[in-house]
Amino acid sequence: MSDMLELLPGSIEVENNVAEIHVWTILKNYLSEDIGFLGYRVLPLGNKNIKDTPSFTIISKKYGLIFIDVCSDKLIDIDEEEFWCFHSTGSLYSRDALIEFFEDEAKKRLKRSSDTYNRRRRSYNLSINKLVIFYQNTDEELSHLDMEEIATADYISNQNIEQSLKEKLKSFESGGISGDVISVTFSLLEGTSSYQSKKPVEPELKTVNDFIQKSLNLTFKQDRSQRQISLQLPNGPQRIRGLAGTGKTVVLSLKSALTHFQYSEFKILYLFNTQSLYNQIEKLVEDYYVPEAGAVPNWSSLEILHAWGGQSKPGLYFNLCRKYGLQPLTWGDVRGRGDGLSVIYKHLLTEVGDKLVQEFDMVLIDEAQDFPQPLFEVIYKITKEPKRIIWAYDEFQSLKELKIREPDELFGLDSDSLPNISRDDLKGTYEGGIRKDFILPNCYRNPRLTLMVAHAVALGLYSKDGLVDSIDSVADWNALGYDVVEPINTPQIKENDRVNILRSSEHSKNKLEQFLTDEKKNPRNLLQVKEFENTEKQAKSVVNEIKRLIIDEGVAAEEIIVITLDTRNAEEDLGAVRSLLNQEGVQAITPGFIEKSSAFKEAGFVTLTTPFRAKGNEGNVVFVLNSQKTLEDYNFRGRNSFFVSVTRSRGWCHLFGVGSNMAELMSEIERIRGDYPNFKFVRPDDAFIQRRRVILSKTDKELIETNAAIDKLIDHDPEILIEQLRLKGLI
Amino acid sequence: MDVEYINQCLKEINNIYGDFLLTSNHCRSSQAISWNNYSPGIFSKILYAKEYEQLVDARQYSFLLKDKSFFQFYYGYSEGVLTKAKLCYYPYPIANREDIAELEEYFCQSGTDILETYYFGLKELQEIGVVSTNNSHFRLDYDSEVETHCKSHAQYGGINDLRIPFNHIISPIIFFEFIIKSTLDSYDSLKNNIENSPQYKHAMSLASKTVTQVSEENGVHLQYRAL
Repeated sequence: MSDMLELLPGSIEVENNVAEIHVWTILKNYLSEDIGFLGYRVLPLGNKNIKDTPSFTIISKKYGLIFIDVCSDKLIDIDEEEFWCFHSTGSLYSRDALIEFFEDEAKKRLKRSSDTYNRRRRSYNLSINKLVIFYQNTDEELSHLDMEEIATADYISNQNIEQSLKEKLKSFESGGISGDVISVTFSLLEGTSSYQSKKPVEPELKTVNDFIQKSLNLTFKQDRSQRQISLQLPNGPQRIRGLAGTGKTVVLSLKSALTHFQYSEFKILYLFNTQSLYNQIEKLVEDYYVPEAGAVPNWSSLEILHAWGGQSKPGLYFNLCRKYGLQPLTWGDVRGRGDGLSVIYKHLLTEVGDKLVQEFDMVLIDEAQDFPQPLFEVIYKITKEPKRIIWAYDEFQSLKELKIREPDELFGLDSDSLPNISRDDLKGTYEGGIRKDFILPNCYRNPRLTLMVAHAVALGLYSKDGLVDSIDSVADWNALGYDVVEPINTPQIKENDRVNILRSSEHSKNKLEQFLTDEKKNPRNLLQVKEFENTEKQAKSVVNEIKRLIIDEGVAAEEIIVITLDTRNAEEDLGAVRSLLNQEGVQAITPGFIEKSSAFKEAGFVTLTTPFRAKGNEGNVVFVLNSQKTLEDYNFRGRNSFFVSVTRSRGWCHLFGVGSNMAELMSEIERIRGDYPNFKFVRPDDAFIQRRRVILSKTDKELIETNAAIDKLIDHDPEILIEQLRLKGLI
Repeated sequence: MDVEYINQCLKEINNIYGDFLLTSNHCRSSQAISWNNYSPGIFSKILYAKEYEQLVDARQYSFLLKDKSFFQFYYGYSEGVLTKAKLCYYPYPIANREDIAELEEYFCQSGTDILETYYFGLKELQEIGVVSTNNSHFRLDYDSEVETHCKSHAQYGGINDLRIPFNHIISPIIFFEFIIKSTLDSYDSLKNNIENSPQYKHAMSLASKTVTQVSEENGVHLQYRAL
């Protein structure tokens, strides 16, 4: 829990109820100095209809637990206490009874922890109060209805609401509740209990497997920023940025489940790219939805789809084609025409772009970085106003995609040639201070050192040949989970600036690192670098190490991934490793070469692969072979492959390599370690960075051709080359 | 040729030819030598590449080699007596060499309807990047219970109905060695090392002794002769 009031506005903006928003504002201001939570209907507590729960829940250090319900309609009659008759909404079940049931359920749950309930004394460790606000009724009307006789909760009328609300709160003041009680209370009441950590069984941690098992036993627990964003329903577009492993899929799944639960009439679309994610997303949605709603999600209202689809497995494109009577293009049709997704969504826009009907109330796009522009334009067209489009963007997938595509580049143009969604639409905040452009800064996947080495090598921050590219916007560094220490007070880093970047441990929540530190083991060993005389010795060494991990350290074979950066000789090199492993009785697979590309991490088998194929997978122990290749590519592709490979590791990462470039890479990594947990470098001048970006933008073919032409000149006419360069002032 | 011997023989293959192997997947039970997740049967009349792929995906092999070919060795017993044997070799599918122009020419010059369609179909496929493959597996089968054809025979998957009688049942290592000697380019460089090793000599001499005579067939037939 943080040391401030955490606002969880949930669906308050979507509901847009004047009375509730007024009360929210009063509470928000009045409690602003307090510590704890203020939420709008984010805790269903088993209520199948969220409208049956009180409007607000306060869990506060100063006031304990308070439930507040706002009756925004005028109460005109009471029928045998159970049914209340309102002016415009008619007869409804008693709000007083509902808040009482809610309190009963909350009390039942609080009994589960000795932090919140003392079983011997049969008392709660924090005060629990409930309040009903009759927003349209006067004192007189309420006494006329005998409210004093009927109500079990405290209540106030519409007379001088702000004043009487504050007085009520003051009367609930109990004070001195500890932070632990507050966070335990929230955990017990929140609907996301399935994401909580189990109580760990604590054997002594000795082998690598012990550490791995411990880290696997801890399931995901949401942190503050994740909770805030998952429990909120924005009333317009929203972008979520973060590195891989920051919990974007969990956040989107929870958001869609929550919206589906609260607004069963909403049509929701959850769109993503990697087909293997289907099970994970459906499970996340169900884990939240089923216990709360007591029913399975209605998958025709909450559609979970990948972008393409075909006869055997529906997808968004396929479904839209059917709906609009188009013959869907298949993968075979678009082969060799560039990005297939781009071709098919362009096809949709060309054929039926004007006819597309707004059908979804909310669209959540996972893995947005993988999608081409036309897809976003289609999404814009099929989403109803106020365009609740929420897209999650993986930062730093590759050096070529360092620059994030802005909404005006994605969602197309309106009839006046203005962007459908502009950059300004992402500026500012939604209610509760939740940014429209939201950053998830905490990375759960990679140990901090591993991640920092991956970033620094990819960007060439410590390369003797200078930076590969420069991230200049402070916001972009923040999105990667870094703080810019120097230069201070500027949103933008400029040429020749001395730059100092910090990754605070708070933003790297990899459990292994913490466990190792707890056990007085050095987390530095999570990243190890070794140089070999030749590839045979490298292969022998990786085989011995794998054998040791499996036999002595009890590591499961499927937790080990071997990636070679020498993609040209990959099949041969991986074959050699596989053969040596076989001779040691260790089974391995080489997906894409022999087994199916999708056969990753099969139980009992070590996975041997290339950076390209390893994308999207992760393992506890990663070996990178031929790491020297990091420094050998014209267009820094090697650095990119290095980044992809190293970031597959949730735990240990071993960098193996041969030759002089390996020695150079080792010294580069040593320099990175020297400044850890900071990056310190000088931002090169703009002309230098510009040259690098030109090179980065070239295709491999172009670079090979250009380099061949230069080599030819150097071999045959070096004098002409030098003379020309001199004349043009280039040297 | 009991279970124990065959099992030992497969271990010898591991030891002697380890450098050529990617994965060893054989296993033994009391009544059979087979491979993990064994499923019997063969695929016929389908594209060879698909046949190969299905088997590799399901790990239906005893040994997978570096050149991606694989071997199946199945020896089934009933009360200690060998009743079934299958020794099978699946090479890696190789692409046909013809380019589109050549296929077009085949098509134009062909005078028979069915063959013509084959060429035309291939050309169409090749235009969208599909490469046709040409190949099949080779096997030695033994089944003590069959009556309709010879109990022991050699078969080539491409002409599945043709069984060439084979007078002997041989041990896995004889089959394995015979095939890789001709098919593996890398074999030659290690030939001397392998063939001079006592382990090899011992295994081969034992293998020769265990060869079992099945019957003398009339007409065309194959037989094993010891080195």
